[in-house]
Order: sequence, then structure tokens, then C-alpha cells
Amino acid sequence: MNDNILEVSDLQVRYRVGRRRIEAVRGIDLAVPRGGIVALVGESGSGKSSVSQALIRRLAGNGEIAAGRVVFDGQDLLKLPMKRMRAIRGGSIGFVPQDPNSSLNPTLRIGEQLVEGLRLHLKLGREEATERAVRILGDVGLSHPEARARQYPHELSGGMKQRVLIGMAWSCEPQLVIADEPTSALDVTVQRLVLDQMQQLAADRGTAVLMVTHDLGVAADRAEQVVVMRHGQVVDAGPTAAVLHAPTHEYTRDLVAAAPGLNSVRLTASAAPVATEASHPILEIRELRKTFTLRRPGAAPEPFTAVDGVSLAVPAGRTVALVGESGSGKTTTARMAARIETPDSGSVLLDGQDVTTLRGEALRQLRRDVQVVYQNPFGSLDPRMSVAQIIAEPLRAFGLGGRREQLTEAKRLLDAVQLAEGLADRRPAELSGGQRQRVAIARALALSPKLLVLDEPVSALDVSVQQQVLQLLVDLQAERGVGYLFITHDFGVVRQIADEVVVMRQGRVVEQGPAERLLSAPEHEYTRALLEAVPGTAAR
Amino acid sequence: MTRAGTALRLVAPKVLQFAFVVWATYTVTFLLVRVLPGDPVLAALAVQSGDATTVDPEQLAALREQAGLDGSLLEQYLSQLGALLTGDLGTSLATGRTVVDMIAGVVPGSLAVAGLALVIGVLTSVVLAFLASIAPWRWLRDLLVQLPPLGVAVPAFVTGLILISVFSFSLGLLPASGSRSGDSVILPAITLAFPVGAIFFQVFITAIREAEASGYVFTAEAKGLGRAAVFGRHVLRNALLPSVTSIGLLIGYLAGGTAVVETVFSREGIGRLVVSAVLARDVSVIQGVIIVVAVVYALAALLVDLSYPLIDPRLRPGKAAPKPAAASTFSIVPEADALTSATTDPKNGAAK
Repeated sequence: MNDNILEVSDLQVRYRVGRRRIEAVRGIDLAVPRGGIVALVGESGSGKSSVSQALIRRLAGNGEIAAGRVVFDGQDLLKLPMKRMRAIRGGSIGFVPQDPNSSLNPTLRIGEQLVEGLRLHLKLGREEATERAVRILGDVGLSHPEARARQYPHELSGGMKQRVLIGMAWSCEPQLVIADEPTSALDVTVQRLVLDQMQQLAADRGTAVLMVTHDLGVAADRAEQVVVMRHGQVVDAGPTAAVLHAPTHEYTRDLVAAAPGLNSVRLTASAAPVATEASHPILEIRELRKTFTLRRPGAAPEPFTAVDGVSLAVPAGRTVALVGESGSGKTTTARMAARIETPDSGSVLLDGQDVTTLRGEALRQLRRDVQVVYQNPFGSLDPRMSVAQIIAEPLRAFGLGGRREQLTEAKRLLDAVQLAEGLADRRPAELSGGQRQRVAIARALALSPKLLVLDEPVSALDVSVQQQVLQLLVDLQAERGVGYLFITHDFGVVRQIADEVVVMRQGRVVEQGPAERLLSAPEHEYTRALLEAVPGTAAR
Repeated sequence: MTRAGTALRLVAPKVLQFAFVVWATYTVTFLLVRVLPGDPVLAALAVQSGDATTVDPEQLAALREQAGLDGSLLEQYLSQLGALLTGDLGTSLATGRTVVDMIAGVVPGSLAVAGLALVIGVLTSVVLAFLASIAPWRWLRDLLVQLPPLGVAVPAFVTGLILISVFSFSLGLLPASGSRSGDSVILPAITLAFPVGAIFFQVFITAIREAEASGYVFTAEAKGLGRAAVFGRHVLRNALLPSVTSIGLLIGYLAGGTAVVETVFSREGIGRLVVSAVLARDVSVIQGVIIVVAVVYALAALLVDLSYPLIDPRLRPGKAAPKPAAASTFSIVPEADALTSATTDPKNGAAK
């Protein structure tokens, strides 16, 4: 008997895909002390989620645990019959899943979903369990817990749902809780509150927590020990202070260097920037306003103002970051700025010209000057076109050059976004996320636009790749003098790329100003709250 | 808004849609029948008295008038539509009986067979899906899932004949034909249940697979629930929504698609009625049957539509969204995320 509640040794997990076997976890060792918080950190594809699922023996259908021991409280879980394993799941080991929006049954009331576990593990009667469920909802910080218990999941916000799931994981007094990316789907301010809640519960009840995360900032703030995974293996492990604050292992050092929350300075261009008249704004939007009509079954249509009088300007060759949480209206503003959406009132000026009411061919011609890069590099590229075709498509659409010239130009652009010329004939499916986003940037640059609207261009990417793509954007801007309207929710990224910052909340601009001033001395309470919520700031 | 008002808002457009579908079907059928070459009255006379009949023109005109086939197209349409609204579907040219009588005569038999087929088909599918979901071995799960497509592949007259030869001739348990005795319903219903159940099963099992791969089923299993509880409480209800849609379509299929089975088992029924009406060019019977089938079809769709909110709470009429708090007063309280809910939901709503 020792003081580790969980000891994993030589755990191997593999998946069958067709005839191939994919080794996702290649023999890892891991220990969680009683009452301790351990973070399991890694980028996508590192196998960290497979580990968390293997611990409760609930892998996806084509996955299997090939070897290893998972000793929990003195017994090897991998040798238990399924029946006893079920008593441990939910009873002694709680699990907080990744996406709160899909992890609650949409057809059952919140209370009923909590009651299930209580009746199963604590053998409570229906009434007693219902009472306990209400108390748990109160414990995790939901107001009106009795009313909440009778609501359905869709009536709660993402943060509230994650609180419910946390309450569920802790409901049967477990000794260990596994949290798999518990806050990746949430806004930063909500993320902070939810993590606080988890830490509080762990401390109060003496529960050990294994937190799986891609976010080094979260790990640095919350964990006592960190285990770093890469390609299915543990590359680094130890106390948080040693691993993250004075990284010795090369991979960990790269990760820490790339993590925006931990380490943020303005990226500088590799080459000297071209001269631009900084005084003149390439894009100016004035008092933009957009109202949508909400239609719900059985209710009268209701107006909803998504953007309410927003004004900002993007100088040529500069980057303006538009920051806000989900629902703040930042994407709608960007769509109006790119004239994908038409504003209800206000005006959009491009290079001094009013383009607010352009239609038809004139609007199409506007695309030469304004291009958009989207968040999801998997959805924004046609899977049946080759990389060269994708990049040359805007040229074809505007009839610029012959076929051969277009191909030459596509290859030149590939080179500009630092992709090998050999990729020209590949399809998007053969590329990684970072490569795809580079292709999307190359396509956006094909027409030499004056303005790029970048809608969360790096939030789907791993930190190390994110860093490279941001550096590329900074270099391209210096070379070409293009203005960026950069939409993001991540203050770490803002720090790295923005010259000016505009903070939005509920359709309005809360604060705007030069990045240096706004990030070091925010004037508005909300900006301050957003900055403080960035994971990793506690550590600095 | 009052509760009744909300319900009305929800139901009224669907009832209107129902009326429109029935009216449109009637109109299209009316025009189609008129476009067909040949004179229905002559055809009817030929059926009654052999091909070489000579007809007195005055008698023909009288017959036309009686059948509502005189006057211009618009006059015929309006007078028949008027009669339809009072529940009068006209008189059969071939038999001289009223169409309402003829249809009413066969409906109970058809209803019994179709209803029983639906019940057997759906219940068998649910049981098979449940077994396929809890079976401990992969090969058994795969086998169970592969079985039902056979139900669609084998034609009804083959299954019907096999059932007759086994249960009627070899075992002598059930009657092979006719519609007099009560147990004569069983074999035709089983025959029809094969394709019906197979189609339902395919939709159902896809929905189940999707539910099983979802986050909430993972949560349920991480909670420690057993397979049966996970299936019953979490998978089934979520898989029901797409499946109920297919039940609506199947009811429509059953309302008109029973001719083959009725022929194999020599039963009176809607299917055979329409076959003989088409052969005799009995216009009013064809129109009448199509109207009845259209009503059943649209009614099934209406019921399916109205059942959605009962199955899925997300489709129930929502309370008005809470107004977002004023942007100027910001405070970090544990419930701050409630504000985000008020602002994100409307966006999703607007996207639809």
C-alpha cells in the first residue's frame, strides 16, 4: 500500500482502422497521488484522451487495451470483470467529459441524469436521490438548483452544463476524477470559474484529479504534477514547477515557448516591413448595426441585436484584433466588414470608398481587395481539388493569366506560405491542420488583397503549429503591407499579433486602443476580467 | 402567451398543411384521370355487358350526368369538390354502388392487416436492435444487424407463399386465404411486416449507432450504468426521433401498398379494390381510394409532426429568452456564464 491512488504502468492502447492497427498509446507510466492534481498534457494525436478513456475501460468501438496495468486503490482495473468495473465507474472514479454541449442526454431532465448515478452507487431511494441532486447542483454554483434540476440540457449554457457534469462526477464521493479537456469548449472567463470549481471540490473532498489538457496554461495554474505526452509516449514528467517553469526536455521547452498564455510577446517580422502610409485606414467601419430575427416554435418572432453600433478602423499594414467571448458579435462584425453580411445601418469604407451597399458584380470585384480566412481548416477547403487548384481558384474566377501562369503563381504562393512545392498536387485530406491553414492563407493572398479578415485562424491548431502560423502571418504582412482584421477569443494570441485591440461584449465595443496600452493597463472592468482569466497568468 | 395560444400557434400551420396536401392530391388525380385516353362511361358499360355493346347516345348522356362526368372540366371539378366536402365520393360506374360504401366495406380488413403488420414490424425491429446493442459478441451483433435487409429483398408473394405452405398446409394452424375468420389476419400481416420492419430497422439502427457514438452515452457509461439501462434510458429515446419519421412514411406505404399481399391471400382490401377499379377504368372509385389514401398519409405525417415535441424537449415551445443584461454593468459572479447562454442561443436561432 502506498499513497498513490492510481498507478499506470506500460499501458498500451491501439485502434483498428480497416486492416491497420494504430498504436495510440505505446506503453506509458503514470501515477496520481491521493488527493493530488496531475495534468496530462499533449498536443492533438499525442494519445492523451485515449489514456483517459482506457483508465475506465471505455474506448471507442475499434479501440483495445493491448497491454499494461492500471492499479487503482490496490486493484488492477484491467483484470476486473465488467460488472465490478461498472461499480467503479461513477462510484470510485468520476469522469468529466470534454464537450459539455454533447455530453448530457438532451431528452432527460438535469436532475434525472444526476439521480441515475446516485441511485446506482449510493443505493438512495428516488426522493432522497432527487434531494441530493438538487443539493449537488447548488454545490457546483448553480443558482435556483431546484428549478435547474427540472430543466433540460438545452436550457442551460455551456458553462452551466459543465458544472452539472462536474457535479455528476463528484456526486458519489469518488476517490479519483478524470477530467478530459474539461474546459476546451468554454469561454475563458467561464473556463476560469469552472476550473476554480473543480479545484475547490478536489480540495474540499480530498479527491485526486487527473486533468487531461492541451493547454499548458491550465496545467501550470492548476496541477501539482505534469506529465507530457507525445506520439503515445511520455516524454517528460515531474512537479509542475520543474517541468513547465524550468523545462529541461527539448519538446517541453518548445511547447512552453509556443504557449500563448505562458509566454506572450509581440512577434516581429523576420524581414523589415515595407513602408506603408500608416496614417490612412484601409478599412473603416462606422456605427455598424445588425439585428436578427429569432424564431422559436410556438413563440412570436423576436428581434435580437447581434451588433450594436460598432466602429473601428484598420490601418494599412497593421493588425487590429477584435476580441470577445462567444455571442459577443465579433464574427458578425467581421462578416459585415468583409461584406458577406449586409449591415442594417452604418457604413463600411474600404480605402476611403463606401462599399456598404455594393451588389452584384461590383460586390464581386470587391473580393479582389478583401479576402477571408476561416477558423476551420478542415471545412474551408474543397476536398476534391488539389492544393494548386485551390490556391489558383481566385485567379481563375477573375480570369487573371493563363493556366500556366496561374500554376506558377500558385507555386510562388505555396513558397510564400512556406509549403513545399511538392504539395501542389496533394488533396486537402493528405495535409495536416497547420498545412491546410497555410493553404487557406495562400488562397486568400492570391489576389493580393489590401485587407484580410481572419476569423479565429489559429484556434483549431495545436500551440506549436499556432505559433508558426502566426509568425507566417506577421512575415506576410511585413512583406505585402496587407491589413489584418483578426478575430479571436484568445488574449495570448492578441498579445502576439495585435497592434490595436477592440474588445466586444454583447454587440458593443467595450474598449479599444493600442495593444500595448490595453494589454498592460486595461481601463474597462470586463477587459481586465478577460485578461485575468487567461490560463497561465497565475504562474507568471 | 396563454398555453392554448401556444398550442394553436404550433398546430395550426400543420393542420393547414394537411388540408393542402389532401386538396392538391385530389386536384392532381382529377386532372390525371381526365387526361387518360378513352371514355370511362363506355369502358364501364363494356365491363358490364361485354365489348360489343351498342349504346343509345341519350342513355350515354344520362349515364354521364349520373356519374358527374358531364359539363366542362371546371364544372365537373367544382361539383365533385363540393360533393367531396359533404363526404360524397360519387358512384361506381362499374358496380353501381356508392364509392363510400365500397371503400367502407374493405377498410376494416385492410386496417387490421396494416395495423398488425406495423406493430409486428416495429416491435421486432426494436427487440432486434436491443439484442444487437447488448449482444456480448461482435459476430452476433453484426449478424443481427445484417438480417433485416433480407426483409426488403424477398418479395411479398414469396414470403406469403412460404408462410402459407408452412403454417396452413403443413401445420394447419392458420387459414390460407379469405377474410372471414379473425385469425386470417395473421399470415398476411406477418408477410407485410417483413418489408415494413426491415425499412424501419434500417433507419432505427442507424439512429442507434449515432446515439451510441455520442457524448451523452459516454457520460452514461462513465456513470457506471449497465448496457440495458444505457440502451433504455439514453439510446432509445434519442434514436426514436428519426425513426418516428420513417413510421409516418411506412403508414403511407401500408395505406396503398397492400395489393400484392391481398392477392396472395385472396382477401378483400383497399389494394385489390384499386386494382380492379383501374382495370375497369372505374374513375370515381380510383379517385375515392386515392383521396382516402392521401388522407391517411397526410394524417400520419401530421401525427408524426405533432409527436416530435413530445419526444424531444428541444422542440417544445420555448419560454421567451431572458433579456441580455445591460452591457455596462459587468460583474463576475458564479452565474456569469448564464449571460453567455442568453447571448449565444439567439445566434443559433437566427442561423436557422
